[in-house]
Amino acid sequence: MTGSRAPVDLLVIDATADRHDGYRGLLGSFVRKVVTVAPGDAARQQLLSGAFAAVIVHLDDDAADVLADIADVDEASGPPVVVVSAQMPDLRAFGAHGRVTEFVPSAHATELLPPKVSCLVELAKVKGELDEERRTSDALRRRMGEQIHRGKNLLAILQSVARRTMHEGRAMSDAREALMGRLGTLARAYQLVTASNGAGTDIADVVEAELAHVMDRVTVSGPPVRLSGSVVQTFALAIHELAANASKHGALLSPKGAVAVGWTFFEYGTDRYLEVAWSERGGTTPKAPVEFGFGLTLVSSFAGAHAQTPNLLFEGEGFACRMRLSQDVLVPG
Amino acid sequence: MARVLVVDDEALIAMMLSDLLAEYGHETVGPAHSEGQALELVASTPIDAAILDVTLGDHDCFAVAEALGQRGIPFAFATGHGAQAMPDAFRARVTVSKPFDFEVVRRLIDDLVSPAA
Repeated sequence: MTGSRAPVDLLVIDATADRHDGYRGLLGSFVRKVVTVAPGDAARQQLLSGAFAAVIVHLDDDAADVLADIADVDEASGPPVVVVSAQMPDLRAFGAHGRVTEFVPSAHATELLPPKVSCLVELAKVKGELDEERRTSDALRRRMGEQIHRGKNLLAILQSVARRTMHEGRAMSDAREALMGRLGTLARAYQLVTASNGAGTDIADVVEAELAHVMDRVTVSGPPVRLSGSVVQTFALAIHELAANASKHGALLSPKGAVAVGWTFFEYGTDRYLEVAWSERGGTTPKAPVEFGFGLTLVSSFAGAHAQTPNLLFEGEGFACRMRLSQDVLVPG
Repeated sequence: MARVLVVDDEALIAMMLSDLLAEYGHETVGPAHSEGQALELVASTPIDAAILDVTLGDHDCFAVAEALGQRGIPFAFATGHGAQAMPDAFRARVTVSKPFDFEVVRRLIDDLVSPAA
């Protein structure tokens, strides 16, 4: 059962093909579809499909075939089985054969069967709705769990950012400005992730959101790629820190300086990842810091397991770095 | 001074644990951001203790936990999920929850690296 609607089809198993039309006419108005079938493989296959709200079994003298057919109907979860026959069958014989709910004498089938079937169909609808409700609440509970986890994670990230920012031994006003900048980035990233509704966040949106204030000095290029929610905040923060560093000590400090950000896919053996390159030009020759601050530590965490070349370069006319995002933080498609 | 492996796919949280370890006078091994990186470090580097984030991207850290257990290296879990989400085999291990209570983390690290642990 995959659809959202309750199964409201009926199966009639009857060896006498001449009666099939009669059954469809009699019961057709209660359900979406009446499927009629002779006993045997076809009947068993239909039963196994599990798509019927109820099964009508018309017993002639020889009941063995039909008994074999309904043997697999699960007593607890299978559809109810209504037996139509000339006289009360030996229900003990059905004891081992699934779930027989009702007996209808064939002489009165025309009057008795429709109300019985309509009751069973109503029951099936209610059961379907309950199942649907249970699935919905399971899904909601799961999403709530994920949301709580994400919230806790975000708090832990805030702890990390706050600790680092207040620990860098600088003046309070500086630290305050840095902290507000970083929190602003986390807020923007969170916004982008929430807005994407789980479909992934376009890397260009993340980069452009963080570089909006210097966009006239930045070129951004790369194929469309969507990042999964788990990496967006850290990546956005890395871009934010690179921009802040460029404005403070790098290319964006000089009026002629510019920054290029680009990304492209790379393969190392079976590993495929996205490489994001940040390169500054038109500034003064950069100097490697004695110790990495928050931003460069963060950027280094994107080095990737197969970094063959240093991913941070302090030479030439500007700082350059490469960040590697593994396949599992990208949203396919 | 002990060498403590930090495994967390969230770089910022790994960074914070490294900072805390340094503050308490210990050295960070890693941090590893994935199961593969962590297993490589466990196999190749002397480690005295470890702190493992339970979820690592699409994976979890239990293979790393097993590798540490086989070597008799003490470890603890850090998780944003409840302790009840742990598989039976590891339920007896210490779990610290995120966001961190730094005092709890400090005591946890003390316990992990003290010879009695």
